[in-house]
Amino acid sequence: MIKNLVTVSLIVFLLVSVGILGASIFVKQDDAENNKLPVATLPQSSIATITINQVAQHNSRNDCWMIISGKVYSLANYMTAHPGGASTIIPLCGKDGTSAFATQGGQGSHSQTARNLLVKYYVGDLAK
Amino acid sequence: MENKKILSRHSGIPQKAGQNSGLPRFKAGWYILTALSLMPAIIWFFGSSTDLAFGDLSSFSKTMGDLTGLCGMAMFSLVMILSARLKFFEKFFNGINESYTAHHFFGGLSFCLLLFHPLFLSYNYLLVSFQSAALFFLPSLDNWAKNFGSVGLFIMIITLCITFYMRLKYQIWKFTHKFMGIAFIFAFVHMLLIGGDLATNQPLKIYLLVLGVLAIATYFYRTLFADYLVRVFDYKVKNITSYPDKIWEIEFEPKNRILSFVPGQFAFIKLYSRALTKELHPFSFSSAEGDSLKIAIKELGDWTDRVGNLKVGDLAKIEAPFGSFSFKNFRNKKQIWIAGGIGVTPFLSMARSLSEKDLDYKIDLYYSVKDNNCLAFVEELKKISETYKNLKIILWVSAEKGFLNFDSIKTNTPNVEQRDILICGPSSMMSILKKQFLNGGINKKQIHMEEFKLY
Repeated sequence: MIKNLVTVSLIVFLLVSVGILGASIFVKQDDAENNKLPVATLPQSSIATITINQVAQHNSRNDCWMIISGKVYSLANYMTAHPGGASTIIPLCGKDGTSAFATQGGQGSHSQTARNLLVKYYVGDLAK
Repeated sequence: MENKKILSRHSGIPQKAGQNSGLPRFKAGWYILTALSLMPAIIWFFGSSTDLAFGDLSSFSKTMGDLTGLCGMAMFSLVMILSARLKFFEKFFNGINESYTAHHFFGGLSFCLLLFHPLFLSYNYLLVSFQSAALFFLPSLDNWAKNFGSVGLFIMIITLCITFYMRLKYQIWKFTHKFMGIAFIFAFVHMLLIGGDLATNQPLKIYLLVLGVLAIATYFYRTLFADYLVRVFDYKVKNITSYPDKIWEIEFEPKNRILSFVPGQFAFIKLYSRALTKELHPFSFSSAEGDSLKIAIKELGDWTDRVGNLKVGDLAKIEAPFGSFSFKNFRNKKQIWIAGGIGVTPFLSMARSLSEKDLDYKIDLYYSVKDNNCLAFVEELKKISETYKNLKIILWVSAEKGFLNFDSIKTNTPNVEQRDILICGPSSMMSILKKQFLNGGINKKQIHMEEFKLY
C-alpha cells in the first residue's frame, strides 16, 4: 500500500515540478502579465499618495498596510501565505517594515521572487 | 537461517527469558508513532495564527505546505530514531521485525508528505508567474534555507527510489540507504534556517528540535559509528559442521562476556574472516538455551555461499538477543510448529531446549522440505522426540506430497483450533498458510509468524 502512495506522490511531484519548469521556459506572456506589473507600468496619475498617518490606521491583522522602501502595501490577504508566517508581519502592520523586509527579520534578505510577489499588494506611494 | 533482503523470522511479544504469559498483541508503537507525527499540527493549531489559515486557496496551500513540512519532518525524525534497533522498541511493536515494518511504512509516508510540502508552497509563487514558481524549485544564491531543503529532498528522492523500485543486493541497498541520514541533516538545517512558524512558535521549535537531534544522534550511533558505539558480544568460531541442503552450523565460543538468549531469538552477526566480507547479517540461534552458541546458515547468495570457508578462530561480533518467537512466550501449551526449509532453525533451538519442565507442552512440529536431499537435522529432531514424547515430528516432503496445507495439518493434528501455531519459512509459504488458517476459522491471535523484513 505504501509503495503505491509513494508512486502516486512521486508522479504528482514530478509532473508538477517539471510542468512548472517547462512552463517557465515556454510560457512567455506570463512574465508580461504578472512580473512586470509594477508601479512603473501604471499611469503616474493613478498612483495614490498615502500619508504615514493613513498607513498607521491600517494596523490590524485583517487590515494591514505596511511601508516598504517608500511604497505602501496592503498585506492582509497575503498574511497567511507568507512563507515566514503571519506572525512576522502582524507586528509591522501600520508601520514601516523596510528594514525587516530588507533583512528578512534579521535572517538575510528576501529573494527576487518575494519582491515580485510584493508588487501584487501595492497600494500607493508614501507621501514625502 | 540467514535473511536475504526479505526473509522471514519472528513475531510475538518480547519478554524476559523464561517468562511465560502470552500477552495480547498490542501494537502500541503504531499509535504512538502516528500521534507523535501529528503532534506538530496540534502544537501549530494551538500556538500559531490559524484563524485565516484556510480562508482562501492561497492561505490553504501555504498552511498545507507548512503542515506537510512540519509533520513530514517529525515523521522522518521518528523513522530515523526507529532505525536505532533498540531492544526497547520491541515492547511496542511485537518484536523488532514489526518495528522495521513501521520504519518502512512511516518512512514512505514522511517522504510523501515532504514531496507535497514544496508543491503546496509553490502555489503562491504560481500566482505571481511560472518563472517565480520555477525559481522556487531551483537553487538560488539568496535563499540558502530553501537550498538545504531542496538538496535534502533530492537525496531522499534518489535514495527512496532505490529502496522502493530497485532490487539490489542487500549490502548495496544498505549502503545506499545510509544516505537517508545525509538527506535528514540537510532537511534539519533547512528547518532550522527557514523561520516562519518554527521561529515564532517555541513549543513547535523545541519539539522538532528534540526529535531532530535524537534522529541525528541515532544516525551517528547506528549508521556512522556503529562499530564503536553499539555494544556487542565478542565471540570466535569454535566449530563448523556441514549438513545436507547446503546448510552449515557454526558453533561459537565467547571471548569474554557470555550471551544468553531464549530459544527462537536471533542475533545480528558480523563475521571477521578472510573468507567473507564484513557484513552484518541476522541469524536465528539454533542451539539450546544455555548451550554453547550456534547458528545455522543455508547457502542462499554470494555471501552465504562462502560461509563454509570460515576458519576456527575467526572472530564474530554479535548484537543480540532480538525477537520473541519462542514457544515459551505463549500461554497456550498446545502448539503447532511449522518449519519451511532453513526456517527450522528457531524450532531446532526450541526443540534442543526442551527439558523435564516442558513435559506439559503438546507440540506437533511440521518440518516441510523440498525433497529428500534437503533433510537437515531430521535425525536429531527424531531423537529429541523419542526423549520428549510430547514433541511429535511430522516430516513433509513437498516433492512427494505437494505443499503443506491446512487440510493436511488438520488430518495429522486433531483440534487445530485449540492450538497456537508458530510458523517460520519462506515468506510465500507463511502468507499462504496464514490465509488458509484464517479461512479455516483459526483466530488471528493464535498464529505467530517469524517475519523479518529489511526491505
